[in-house]
Amino acid sequence: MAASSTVKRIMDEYSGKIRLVIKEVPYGNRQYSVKAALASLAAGDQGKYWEMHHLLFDRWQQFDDQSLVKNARDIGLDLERFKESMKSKKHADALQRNLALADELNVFMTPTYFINGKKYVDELTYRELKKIIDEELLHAKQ
Amino acid sequence: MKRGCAVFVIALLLVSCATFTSQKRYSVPIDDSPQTGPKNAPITVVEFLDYT
Repeated sequence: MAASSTVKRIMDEYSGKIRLVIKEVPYGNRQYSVKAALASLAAGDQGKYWEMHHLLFDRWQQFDDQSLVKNARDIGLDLERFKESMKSKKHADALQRNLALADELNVFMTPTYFINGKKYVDELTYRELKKIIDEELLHAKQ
Repeated sequence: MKRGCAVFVIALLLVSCATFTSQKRYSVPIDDSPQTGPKNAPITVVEFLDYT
């Protein structure tokens, strides 16, 4: 699970200075892990990736089909489009590309962060992340 | 005494390796992955995550 609340807090504090990119890497093709990742990308097709992303963390471990459809309804998605995307596994290739990239970069657990290319494995506390961001901002100015 | 020196040297080498590793900057392709924040931001955070 990601340190999403920590990242959100830092994104708010450093507004305009950070670009956040997400690479979903479902663990070992676990059924629910894959479904949750597919649901986030399916929501992205309708311009609501982040709404689904946050719901998946807020409603952690509620990744059965019914719960994912409820999420989709709650954030106002076109349910037929969402269900079709899930049924056809529209974004399965994107997940495979993420997994291949993770393998290439030797990402062996989540979360793993690359901050301006530097690799940090596992959860980062607010203080740790803030320190890294401040150092990178200083480095960027030099 | 010699043994102590050897241990110290090995420890120093390990610390050096760890520092070197932490300094490495990887090139991580962004492609069309979900993202937020300005594309020209001074900081890019790429997070590999799993929801479960």
